[in-house]
Amino acid sequence: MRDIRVQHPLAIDPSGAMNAIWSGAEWDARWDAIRSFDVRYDDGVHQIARIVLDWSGDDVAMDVVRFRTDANRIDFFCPNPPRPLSYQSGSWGVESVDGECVLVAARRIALDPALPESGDAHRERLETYAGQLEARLSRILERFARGPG
Amino acid sequence: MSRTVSVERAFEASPEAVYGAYWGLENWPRALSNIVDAGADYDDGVHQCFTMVVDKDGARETVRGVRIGVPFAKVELCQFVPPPGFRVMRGEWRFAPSGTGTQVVAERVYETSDPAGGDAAGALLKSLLEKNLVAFDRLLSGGAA
Repeated sequence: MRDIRVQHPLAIDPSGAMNAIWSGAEWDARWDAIRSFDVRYDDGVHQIARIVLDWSGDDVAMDVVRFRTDANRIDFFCPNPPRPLSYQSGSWGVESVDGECVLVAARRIALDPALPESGDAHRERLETYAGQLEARLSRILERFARGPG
Repeated sequence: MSRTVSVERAFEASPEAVYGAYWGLENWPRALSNIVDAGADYDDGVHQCFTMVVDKDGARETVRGVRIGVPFAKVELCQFVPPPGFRVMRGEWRFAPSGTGTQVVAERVYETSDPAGGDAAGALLKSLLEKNLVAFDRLLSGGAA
């Protein structure tokens, strides 16, 4: 397992950012890597969606269950994580860090161990993926921290 | 409009034991005779996608949903395929230490397909939740279901 945490200063009110992250339509509008964000269930507290997104030129699909743990936090897990991951869970949240309001993305990931590879090669592959994911999360946070448009 | 019902019961078992009993899907058919089968399509220890087959007066009903565990304080439930007659069915079991045992609160938030049926549905849910608590208390006490 590899943990990731990325944050970005928040320029809008926290509820606006969290509501936008909850909305499949906002993902479509703000993040161009989204191919589709199909919400299959949403009761306002729990949400189930099938997301297809671009990852390095490939379309990858994931099933995600998201749930609001409080007004400023959305947790999630992936019953079917995007390849090449075998596990992904995490959260989106608004926190106060050193007196600054920030939007935070946290992830716990594991790579599919199906490939025959050494432990060192697996760790290197995981670190490479984690670096790419951190960079992507930074760009996503920037999109959602500034409001629509 | 969503409504909420809740019931509670004092268990002699510890919060760890009560949480474990509710989280383990294999315990459900043991605790409740109308649960024919229960299993997880996904379980990472704190998140579950589950299926239960329930016998209702001889008819089989399949319940699908997700559960989220907060060891040993809470099991949250969302039936993304709600039971017949309901638009929303979600809730939680909360486990609070009480002496050497556990105070268990079972809560459901629901919306009925027919708004006029809310009161009757609430009374039925309350009765089912009370039976649920009794059944798991008996299971943990070593009694028969």
